[in-house]
Amino acid sequence: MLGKLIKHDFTSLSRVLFPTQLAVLSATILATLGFAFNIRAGYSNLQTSGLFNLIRVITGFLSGIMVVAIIAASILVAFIIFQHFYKNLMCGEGYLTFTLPVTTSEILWSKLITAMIWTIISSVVIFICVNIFVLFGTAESGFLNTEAYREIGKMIHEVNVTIGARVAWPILEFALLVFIGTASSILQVYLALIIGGIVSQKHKILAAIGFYFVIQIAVSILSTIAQFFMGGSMVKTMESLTGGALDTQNGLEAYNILFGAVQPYFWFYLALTIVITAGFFILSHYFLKNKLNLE
Amino acid sequence: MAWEFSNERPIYVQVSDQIVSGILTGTFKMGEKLPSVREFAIIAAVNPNTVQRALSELESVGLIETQRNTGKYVTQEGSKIEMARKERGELLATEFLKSMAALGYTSEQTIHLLEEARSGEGSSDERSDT
Amino acid sequence: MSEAILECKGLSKCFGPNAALHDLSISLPAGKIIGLLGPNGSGKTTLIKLACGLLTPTEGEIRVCGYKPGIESKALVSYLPERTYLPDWMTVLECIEFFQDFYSDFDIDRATSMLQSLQVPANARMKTLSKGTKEKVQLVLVMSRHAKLYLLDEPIGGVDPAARDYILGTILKNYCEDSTVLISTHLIADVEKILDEFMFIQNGQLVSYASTDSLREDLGKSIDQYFREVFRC
Repeated sequence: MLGKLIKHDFTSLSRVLFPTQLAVLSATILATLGFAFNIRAGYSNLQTSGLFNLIRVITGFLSGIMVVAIIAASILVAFIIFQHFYKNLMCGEGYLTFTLPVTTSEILWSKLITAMIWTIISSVVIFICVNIFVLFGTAESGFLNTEAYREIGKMIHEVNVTIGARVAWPILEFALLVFIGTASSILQVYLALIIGGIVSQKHKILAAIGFYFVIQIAVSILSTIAQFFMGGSMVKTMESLTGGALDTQNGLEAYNILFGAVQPYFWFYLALTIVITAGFFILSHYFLKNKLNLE
Repeated sequence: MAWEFSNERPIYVQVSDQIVSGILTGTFKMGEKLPSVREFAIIAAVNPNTVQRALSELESVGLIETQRNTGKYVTQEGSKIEMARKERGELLATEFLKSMAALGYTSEQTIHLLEEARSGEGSSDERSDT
Repeated sequence: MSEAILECKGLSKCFGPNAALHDLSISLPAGKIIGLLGPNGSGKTTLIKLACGLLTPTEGEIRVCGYKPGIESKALVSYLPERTYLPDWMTVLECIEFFQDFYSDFDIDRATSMLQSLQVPANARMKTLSKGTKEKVQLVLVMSRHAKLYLLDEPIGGVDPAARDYILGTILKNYCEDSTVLISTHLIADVEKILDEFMFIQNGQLVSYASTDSLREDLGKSIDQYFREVFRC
């Protein structure tokens, strides 16, 4: 049943979000063409007639469109995800969702998983768009801007030489943090929507916004207390390192020291985020199952 | 179209009365197959259990018989139908006399009115010519 | 011994200080069409929501075919709420497919033929349909399931007489000896002919539970008349 829920949630989201991603891609292509035109026009010795300048202004404007489109699309993705949650669980559709032969857990998991999938899709699309723009739009000569990528390639090569495959670890750790952090953010909004909807029948959204901040404060307090028990802060530890053991020409050694120092903080922070995320999920489940009264 | 029912008597009684009327007026002919319980329920717009009870009542007085695997049929025995007709007629007559008595008529006056009404069937045709 | 389709033992539901239902005990058998009757605010909808698993009891218990409200009971219960609850953006066909996906007892042929006879276009989006048509679509979907317990909350409130006949006819056509239909309504006179039994609820408590026939035989009253007596303002 979870698979079916995911399928339907995903279809419901994609219906609106897929066109937005197409729009972002289109805006990117337009912006890329515009920017490329602008660059070449700037380098050429063409006449600066009035019409020509107008075209340059327009194409320059188009480049800005891409940035706006990306920002707008990101906001829209978040908005649609949360709107779908709200409409599907806290409004009339709730009568349908909560009488399906599925558990409350499955409903929540489906909402979380489809939100994560779309967040990832959206990020990938933005990444592709930026790359399209850089690759095709910013070339000063020729067709492709391979220079930027060559520079990146050189950097990667250097890292590989000094640190080697070990660099996979911080990358993985960072990815894990981002992943769990995204889930945490999503669940925080979900929980706020749930509590807001339960507490105030007439002003669900306002109450939800209020509770979002309440949760935010509660989580901050908890984190601070937890950090206190962890002893010291990461920044201080880092500061104590400079000028000491870190003063070495050997890149690999420096990396190892830094990485080692960061580790306990990483694991602590990861564990804390996981606990908070799980807490959000458990609370959401409890409120949905026991306290929700659809009108 | 749904059948009409009054509020005071059990519906199953009214349903069986309606079916008997149907048999007496020839809507349901002798030996004819009756609609199923479910079909009756939909036609009359009443609960199937109610129809079931009505049909059972009629079966117990012999107006309806069930043939296994094929359904329910109006009885072939003309005598049973005639008995039902007589019963119904007697009931209507008694009730009519009671209603007229409540209006203040004696039995003799009631019968006299009936005879006038019967011959009036002829004279009212004459009057309508003018 | 056949199991009761719906059974409540000492069932209570409180919202803060208000007891919407108080100490309700009842056992509903299979194969009946039962009226859940009472004035507004008497607790009818609360009882239905508890049976659906949309609310959790404060005290006591409620069971559907022996199951506490959960995923087994939800597979056996077909619920028609008072309001529209299908997603606006879905087409009629998508709604049918949705029901078919989640409910193994969904009869797609019955649903499509009923919607065809109502002349509802399969590709129409729910939001383009009139309120009356939306309600009919929801009724069709709910009644196209072969459920054990049908919970209909005010199915004929706010519809014209022809639609009313259609809805009652659909309920009758759907009748099955293994299942029970619980109809919550205050339009008693319209519904009375199809009820086997009825429950009166007032202030969250069960006031009466009897069969339509016995009421008429013993008291010579229809449910409608009896209701007016019991709930006289």
